[in-house]
Amino acid sequence: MAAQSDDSYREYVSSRLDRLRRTAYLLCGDWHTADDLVSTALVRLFRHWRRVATMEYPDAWLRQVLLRAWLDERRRPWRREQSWPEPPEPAASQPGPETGLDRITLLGYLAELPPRRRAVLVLRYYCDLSVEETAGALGISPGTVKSQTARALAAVRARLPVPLAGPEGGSGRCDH
Amino acid sequence: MRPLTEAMRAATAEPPPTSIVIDQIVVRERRRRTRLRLVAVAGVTVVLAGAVPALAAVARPDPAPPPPVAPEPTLATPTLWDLPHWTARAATAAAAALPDGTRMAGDPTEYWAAEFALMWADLVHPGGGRGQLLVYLDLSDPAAVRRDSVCGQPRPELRFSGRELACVPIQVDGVALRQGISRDVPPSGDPVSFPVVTHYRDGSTVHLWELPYPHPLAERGTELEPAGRLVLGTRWLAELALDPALAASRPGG
Repeated sequence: MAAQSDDSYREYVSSRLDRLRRTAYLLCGDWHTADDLVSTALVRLFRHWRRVATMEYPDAWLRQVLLRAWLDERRRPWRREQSWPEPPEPAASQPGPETGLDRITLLGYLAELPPRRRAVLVLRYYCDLSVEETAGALGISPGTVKSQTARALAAVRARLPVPLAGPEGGSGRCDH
Repeated sequence: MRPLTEAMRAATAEPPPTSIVIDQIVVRERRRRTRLRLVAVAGVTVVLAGAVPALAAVARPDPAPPPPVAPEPTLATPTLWDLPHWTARAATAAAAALPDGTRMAGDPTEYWAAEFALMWADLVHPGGGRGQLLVYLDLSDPAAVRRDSVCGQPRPELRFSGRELACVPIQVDGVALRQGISRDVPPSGDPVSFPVVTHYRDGSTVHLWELPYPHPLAERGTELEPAGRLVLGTRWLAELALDPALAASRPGG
């Protein structure tokens, strides 16, 4: 019984681990911290695996655990960041010609966003969640998701030399 | 694909090798679960070990109250004072042993005081020195209730009918009474008094009176062995101790 449960847990986590790490990386901007967050989420998943395994959307449960782990981590005293009016160092790379965003620039812009707005952008544009799903994952109202999304995009656009193109079709769901 | 989505995917396109090992998580959590179960079992065992006796004690009906150590003493209780021949014999014998001037007057309580003092005087060294007088009445042992044996020495001047008295162990509801006084005897000339107190097994005490020292009768005493012990076996002594009304009538009582 326990062995079967462990096997199903291993199988599930193995198929989601990569996506989960990428999502955590977009949230925190650091692969080591991302691994810590994913480990925390996986431990919690193991402790509730019997119940989660019977859920219709276990991915949503795991995503929510990951988000809360990250938000909790942000609240820890040693994670508090000191805000500056200007970035201490300019971005190391320039925006690409096509999207106006490259990896370092994107991470820098995301890091400047408040945690919740950053989470909204990651959930909506990387995990491709709907407004309602994002609201459910973050525990906020759909209206708040819309306003947070708009403000986050405005902040990113304001930093870009080349305007972002408008929303286009979906990119496929974030299946973790 | 939206530009922002594309940028996000590009930013996470090359993740470094992960340090997460799923098997380690499984093993660690399994051990933790086992540890928690052991702690829970131990805790429940400890709680039950403490709770079961407590619950049993609560569920057990209250034990019957212990019998009173001594019955409520009243003057209506038959005492030796109601036995005139004993009183008369005791008074006569004591009067024969006491020097002139000692009040006897047929008062048995006074007689008791005088007789007690006589025995005490026989045990206290009159010329000083230190010793201990212990008057100890242990009525639980009928063999010890022998009036004519004091510290193993015969008492010819107070020759009671020891056999009669020896056959009367005083017990109240099966609990023997004990009475005793104990006091260091100071050098001669230092006044001191001996509190005569009856101790009951339930911790209560009845203060009878103070026995003064030096006592005139002490001058006729004999050598006292250090920490000498006198065993009294008189029933009336015990009954006197039982009777707080009599005790209260004693000087200093």
